[in-house]
Amino acid sequence: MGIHRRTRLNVVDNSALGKEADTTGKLPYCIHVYKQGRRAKHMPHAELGDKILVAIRGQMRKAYVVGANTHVHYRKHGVPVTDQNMIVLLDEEGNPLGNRITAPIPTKLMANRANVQFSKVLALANKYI
Amino acid sequence: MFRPAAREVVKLPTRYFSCKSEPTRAVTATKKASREEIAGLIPAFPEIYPDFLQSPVWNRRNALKEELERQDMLERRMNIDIPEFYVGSIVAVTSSDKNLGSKEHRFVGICIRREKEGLLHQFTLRNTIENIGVEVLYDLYNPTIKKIETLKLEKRLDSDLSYLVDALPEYSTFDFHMEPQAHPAGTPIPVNECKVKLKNPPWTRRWEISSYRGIDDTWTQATPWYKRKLHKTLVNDYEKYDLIANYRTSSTKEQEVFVQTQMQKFEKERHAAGLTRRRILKSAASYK
Amino acid sequence: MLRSLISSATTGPTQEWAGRILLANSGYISQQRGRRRTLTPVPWLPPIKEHIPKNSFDLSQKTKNLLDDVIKKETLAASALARNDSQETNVAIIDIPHSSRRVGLVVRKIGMLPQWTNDGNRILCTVLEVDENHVVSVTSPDSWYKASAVGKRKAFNRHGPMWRVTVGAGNDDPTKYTLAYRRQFARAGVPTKEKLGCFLVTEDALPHAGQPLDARHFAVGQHVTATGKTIDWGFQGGMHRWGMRGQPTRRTTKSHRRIGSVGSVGDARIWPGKRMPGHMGYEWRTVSGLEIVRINNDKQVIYVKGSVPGDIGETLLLKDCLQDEKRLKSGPVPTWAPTLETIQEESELSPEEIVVPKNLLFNETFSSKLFRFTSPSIVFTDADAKRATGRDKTKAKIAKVKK
Repeated sequence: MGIHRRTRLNVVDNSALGKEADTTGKLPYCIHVYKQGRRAKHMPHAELGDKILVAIRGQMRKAYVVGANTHVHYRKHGVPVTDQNMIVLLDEEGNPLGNRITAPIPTKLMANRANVQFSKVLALANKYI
Repeated sequence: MFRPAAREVVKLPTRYFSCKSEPTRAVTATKKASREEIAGLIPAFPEIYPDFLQSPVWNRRNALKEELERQDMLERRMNIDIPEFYVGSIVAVTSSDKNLGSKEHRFVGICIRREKEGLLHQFTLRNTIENIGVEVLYDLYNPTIKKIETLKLEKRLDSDLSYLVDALPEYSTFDFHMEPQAHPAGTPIPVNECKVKLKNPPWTRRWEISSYRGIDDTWTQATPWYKRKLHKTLVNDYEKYDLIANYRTSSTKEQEVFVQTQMQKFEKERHAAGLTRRRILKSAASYK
Repeated sequence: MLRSLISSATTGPTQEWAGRILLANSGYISQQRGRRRTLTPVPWLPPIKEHIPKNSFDLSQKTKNLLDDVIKKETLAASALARNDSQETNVAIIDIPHSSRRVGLVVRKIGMLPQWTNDGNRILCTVLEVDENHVVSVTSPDSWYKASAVGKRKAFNRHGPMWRVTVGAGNDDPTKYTLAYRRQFARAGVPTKEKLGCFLVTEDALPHAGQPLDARHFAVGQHVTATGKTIDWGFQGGMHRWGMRGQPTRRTTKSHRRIGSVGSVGDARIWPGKRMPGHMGYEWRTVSGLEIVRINNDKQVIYVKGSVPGDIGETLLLKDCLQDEKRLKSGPVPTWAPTLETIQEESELSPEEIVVPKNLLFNETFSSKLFRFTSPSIVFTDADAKRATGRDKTKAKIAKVKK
């Protein structure tokens, strides 16, 4: 239904780590979702704009979900749905690793402008869908 | 099979049995207008206005609720021009986005599906932007939509183009700044009979066992494992024998005529009040 | 899903609570006993529908026409009588005290429609039709207490003495019903009704028998409580009825949707109340706090935000919400009458706005936050965009102290 543990994701920024993962073919996969769940001992699924922990090239990195492939029955009006699940990597402090985002980003993410971490990611985006 | 061209079949408005309304056949420009068209009614009404169909769930059909819903839908159609488009047409939607403020949000794409009836009617547009396929779902009657334009009016071989997800990106790429191609009034809607080539499997759905006519040879591309498992059995092959499903989803002639007369009455009242000159009930394939 | 088997008399749960009361009196309740649903009315009540065998009598066509004519005229006369009567009653829009309870309406659920707010958010609303509601009878607490077991429980409870007001909905052909059933309507001077519902009303909000009830009894923006029988799912298995997980598809033999184990060896029995397959649904449930967003006065239709129990076409009882914050502060007491109708003044409109003349539209009241389809598309401004950004939840919320 959303992005959960073991979901493979595509990195959309121009960070070196992301490019390496793409070329070697070992895509990053989600290992944790930073979200408040509603069911005991069940980790909620990540959607557009959520923060997750991914495993890339043997290391763990935090990332923001910037494009999600939601099932037809869960889609909402006006929210674009991409064919791939796209993420933007963050470093330990929470700053984005790359300095540009290649893919177009849904405008819905602009609602999280107030969040300092997220606004840094939005500053890198140049095309909005 | 085609009927003999010499004798014209006149469609009577009253019938003693209800059957599925026939889609527009190959109407040539030389054929006379049928009795319906003279009355201002459209024979292909369920194809052009799928949101005015009744719910396929029999329990949910209620005359009063449909009347209230229709009133809201027609009011909306009087305020914004909702053009005729089919699955396979290229549509541009301009909507106002809360996050953008005063800037408008425009999306161009091919319509891949149209679902649900009434005010809930939705359509999805698909486009490929920087090699990433994007699909956007829109509620047809959502008030944040400012403008819907049909850039290219055409049909495809299927009424559901979900397979474009697994097709090569060139089949879903459309220029955002495409110029609208006008459809000459009176000509039938062109059917784009292109057969789409899929990417290498694995696919998101089992296209090789579904009966989509717009896909070019899935069987050879499908993995040997699935070929071994199901030797050419088609999913949904039984659906053509399901008469009740047909009865539920299609509309009767009486219902179509009733809805169209209500629309005409609505239109006439609003024109008479001098508010707009917008016409709701129109068909690109008709003579007017 | 099965259609509801019960006929019109809906007087609320009776049998299912009886078991509980007996246990409560004994001083120790261990399990929930008693029936969850009543599919047939109690046997001592007189029949409601008149069963006329097809070949029992043969009326000539002239007599049949005369009968139809008489019935029609009687219905009209009864409605007119009730309407005229209501003109004389004292209705007023007053502040409703905390202890007052007003009448409710007997409505039918006709479907669900989406509506949009001026912010662009979508609300799914249930559409409820108020079909010719009339007050059929009004019983004082004392006579109700003497008359029935339900009265002994409900007439004098902790909220004070309550009057029992029966409301009927849906005019119907009186020849379908027995004389005993029709008598109550004749006494009130009201046409024969299909559905009945009862409400507990305090004395200060009491309507009189025969008073017609309108959808405007409720106001837009008010919160209501909807009570009704849930969808009848029929006989359902453990997975659907109780949410059991079943067994895996592979590696198990002939057991995929079964309930599995029913107990332990030690107990050597099955606990009463063990969740098992059985009849699901068709139970009396209440959903409270639903907001009314739109009322159509011409068609007598109420749009309520959210969902209500029951299938489409089924009857519900609609009452005022009693929760503290959602209580109705002031409204028409005992009910709305045409004398309360105020002529809405034409609000000042800018010349650019196109106004649809009133005779082309339904006479409707909308909530202020609801988008009306007669207005043009919603356009946001930069101020809206600024407001749209949520609070940064990663930072602590610190109060701003004014110096």
